[in-house]
Order: sequence, then structure tokens, then C-alpha cells
Amino acid sequence: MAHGIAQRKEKAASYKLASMQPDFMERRIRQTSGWIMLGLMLLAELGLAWDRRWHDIVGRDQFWIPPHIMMYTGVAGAGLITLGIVLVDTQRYYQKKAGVDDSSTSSVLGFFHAPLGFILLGFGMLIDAIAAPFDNYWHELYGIDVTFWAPFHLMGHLGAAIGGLGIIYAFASEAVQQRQAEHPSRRLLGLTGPEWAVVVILAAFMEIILPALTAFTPVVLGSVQLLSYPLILVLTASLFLVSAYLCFRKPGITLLTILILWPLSIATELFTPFALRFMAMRLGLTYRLGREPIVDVTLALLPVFYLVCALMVEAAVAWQRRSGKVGNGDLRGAWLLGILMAIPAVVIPPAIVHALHLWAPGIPLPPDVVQVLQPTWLNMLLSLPLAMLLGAIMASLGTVFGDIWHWNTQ
Amino acid sequence: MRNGKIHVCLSLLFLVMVFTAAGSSPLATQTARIGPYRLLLSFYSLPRTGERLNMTIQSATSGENLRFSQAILNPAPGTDATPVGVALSPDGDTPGAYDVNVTPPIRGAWLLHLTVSGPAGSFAGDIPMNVLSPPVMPMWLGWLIGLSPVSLLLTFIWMQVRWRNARRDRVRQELLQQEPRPLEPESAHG
Repeated sequence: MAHGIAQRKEKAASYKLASMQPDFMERRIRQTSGWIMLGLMLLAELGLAWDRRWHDIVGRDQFWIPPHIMMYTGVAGAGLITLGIVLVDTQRYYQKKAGVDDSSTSSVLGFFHAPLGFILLGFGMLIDAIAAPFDNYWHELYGIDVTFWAPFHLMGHLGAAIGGLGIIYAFASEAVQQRQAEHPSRRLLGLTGPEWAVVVILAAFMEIILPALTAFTPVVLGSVQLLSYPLILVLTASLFLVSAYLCFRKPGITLLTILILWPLSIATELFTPFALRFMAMRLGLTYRLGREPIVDVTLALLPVFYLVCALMVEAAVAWQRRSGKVGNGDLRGAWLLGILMAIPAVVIPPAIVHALHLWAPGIPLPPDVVQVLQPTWLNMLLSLPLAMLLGAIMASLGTVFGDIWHWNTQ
Repeated sequence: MRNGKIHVCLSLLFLVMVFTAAGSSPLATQTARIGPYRLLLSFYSLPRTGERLNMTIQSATSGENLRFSQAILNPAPGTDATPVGVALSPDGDTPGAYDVNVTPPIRGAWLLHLTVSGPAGSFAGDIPMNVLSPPVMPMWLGWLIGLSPVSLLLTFIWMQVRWRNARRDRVRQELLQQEPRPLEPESAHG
């Protein structure tokens, strides 16, 4: 008992010492702004999921629709905070403040100095801000059913991806700084605050594609169809699960990521039909093609795929550790994991739809789910090699990002 | 000198008259028929995407008073859009005319659907309307701009791969120099 109290006192004293470190102010600036930006990015992500359904069910009739307002509030807020951080850190760099030097910042245009993650995030949000009016213009020209694959939709998605990478860099570098600090930081389940933020962002990155999965329609090649939904699934799973493990090098971290992803996915699937009904009623809008918004159970169950992939990574890590093949939490042959992940990416979504038809026929499925996620065996087999190739490439890229996020202090 | 001043004054007066006249006369007019009624549409701004259309509608037969109601702008077949609400109100300046205000969101053919009530009864019908767009960007230019961030992303990834490989090699070198300590390199990947 007395030993426990002494230990707690020792920890408290250590945390106090950490708060007296010379770079404490810089850590506080970066982490506080990072958490606000994380909130804004999650807001934008929810807005994006809502927007996707709005396009389908109500129709994108103008720019200032509620999901756009939600999405661009997140984008604009994150962009403004990033701009603030770049300006503040540039000033602090020239003032030679503790924690702001060449080892902890990157240079932009030879004058500005800021953390690499914030710079990336700034570019991402800038790309999104440029894409927005172009997207509006494209809709004015080509109508409300402009596909997911329109040039300025893709530009917006690329901006979001760059911004998302930026926020991971920002928190990962903070996590490295805290690991290298003399005094330990507060931890929850063995993870520091910035490490928790990285886990949440990785989960959000994998979740963001689920509401858009049915936009990945098959590519028709003569009499066969090349499925595109497995490509985006295997891309996110192999890239982010491999990098999640290597960023932390702790067994079980990928399962923790899925544990966060799943409620996020369910919350998104519950929110979008509710928000659609509510706003359509408030604004007196009608649904297109007689389609009522419904909870898409398939998409809420899709994290099963990520769970299977996370179990693959954990099994590989456990086996490599036990056999003494690697040290220091390393992961060998990640590309092979990427190849293996392609199999559940092809099989699991149709399996979920099939299972729902079989065991819960009363649950309504949206037409896009029925159309995209019920491929034939031949088409699945033909699409598998491409998914495997992409999985191998993305898992290899995951090792690069994982290593960088494990080391990088900028 | 005095003549010069008079000329300037006359020119200014002329300009004021021209501009005032331009403000009160429509840019274009169109006639249409709904039921037995002949209608005159006066456009004070041309129908363009994203711009509020300012026009009036009235009977084309002099002395005939018509009432207009239940107006909605429906996309014609071939225009990918949803119906848009139209604001109708009696015009303050011209008796018998109604102001029509609507913002068409997408270019192409539209149908102004409305109900006309007059001495011959109430009739509903559609008036076709063509909505203009801003200059059309070539498709290749759209894709070029839209995919321009790919180059940024690929350059960034390439730089990161180089940075990571250099760092990994450095760690390996350091570990080799520290031999025979039986430690695995921190970052070696297969």
C-alpha cells in the first residue's frame, strides 16, 4: 500500500518535472492545436459521409447544403489553425525558442519553419479549398449526379488524404518527442496522448472509405468485370495496419485501432440517415427516385474485414517475435501480409451481404450495396491478382510510413 | 469654352438616359402559351447557373389580367438536376405583371411550371427555358487541375522513402560498427 503511494508520488513528481522542461510550451502549442484539428477533421469526415448520402438521396442542388457546411467548417478550421501554427512557429524559430529548431521543424519556401505534419496539413486543406469552387462549377456544368470519379472530387479526396497524412505526422512526431524526453509522460493503457491521437486518425482513415465503398463500381471489360471495391479496401488495410504496428511496435495496437474504428463506423452509419431525414424535413426537401434514407447495416459490419487483417498482422508479429526472427518490434515480409489481405478484401463484403440475405432478410439493403457488393465468383477471382499486387505495394509503403512515424521528430 | 461645357452636360444627360433606360427595359423577351393564355416573359437578367434570375411574366394580350401561382422550375429531360422552388410576387411597377425569382443550379433545358388563372379558368403548364453556363472548361484541363496534387503526393512519398532508407542504412552501419554485440538493427525490413 505504502509502496503504491510512493510510486504514485514519484510519478506525479516526474510529470511535474516534464512540465518544467524548456520545450514544454512548444509541446503544448503543437498538441493543443493538433487535438483541435483532429476534432475538426473528424467533423469533416462525418460531413463527407453525410454528403455522399445527400448526393444519392436528395441530390446536390447547390453548394451551401448542410453536409457541405459541416465538411468545409472542418476544412476551413483546420486550415486556419495550420496557418496560425506555421506563423507562430516561424516567429518562435527566429526567436530561437526551446523546441523550435531545425531538428523539430521543416523549412517552407526558405523562410517559414513549422512541423512537417502541419505543413502537409496546410497543403491538404489548401487543395480542398481550391477544389471546392471547381467542384461547384463542374456540378453546374454536368449536373448533380457527377460521379465520385470526377476530377474535382478526386482533387478534394487527394487534399483530404494529404491533410490526413499531415495530422498523423504532427502527432507521431510529438509521440517521438515524448518517448525521447527524460521524464515520462502520462499514459493511458500504455499510450501517451499523441499516440492515442495517431491511433484515432489511423482508425478514421480506414473508416472514411466505408461510406464511399459502393462508389467503387466494377470496371466492365467485355464480358467480365474488374471489381474496384477490393482495391480501396486492401489499400487502406495494408497501408494503415502495417504502418500502425511499425509506428508503435507494440503487439495488439492494430486490434486497438479496429476497436476505435468500429464504433466510429457504426456512429457514422447511424448519423447519416438521421441527419438526412432531419434536414430534409426542416428544409422541405423530397427524396430522389423514391429512396428513403436507411441505416446501411452492411457498411456498419464491414469493419469485420479490418479485424481479419489486423489479426493477420498480429499473428505475423507474434510468430516473428516468438521465433526470434526480428528484434526491436520489427516486422519482416510485410508485403506478404498485403498480398494475403487481398483475399478478405475480395471475399468479405459479398459474404456480409450474402449472410444478411440469408439470416436477416428483413433488413433492407440500399440498391448500391446490392449492385456493387454482389459480384460473381469469376469476377472475384479475376480481380484478386490486382488486389494482391496493390496490397503488396501498399504494405511496403506502410513499412516506410511506419518507420518514419516511429523516428521522425520534425 | 461655353459650347464645350454644354456638350459635356448634354453628353452626361444622354448617358444618364441611356443607363436609366437600360435598367428599365428587359434584356430579352419571350412569348409562351399556357392553356388559352398568351404570356409575355421579360428577362431583366438572362438565366445563368448559380445566378438569381430576374424576370417578369404577364399576359401578352393587353387589358387581360392574369394571376400566376404554384411555380416551380423542373429540369427538362436530359438535365441532371432536382426541381427548384420559384418565388412569385406581383410586380410593383407594372400592373398585371409578376416578378419571378429563381436561381437555376445547373445549365441546360428547364421547364418553368406554373398555374395561370384568368377569365377562361385556371390552367397549368410548362414554359421551356434554357439556362446558360459559364465558359466550359475542356475535360482534359479539368483532369489536369484535378489530378495535380498527385504529383505533390508522389514527390513527398519519394522523398520520404529516400529519407527512411538513408536513416535505415545509417542505423545498420552504426550497428555493424558496434559488433559483436548481438543486437538486431532497429529498423531492418525484409
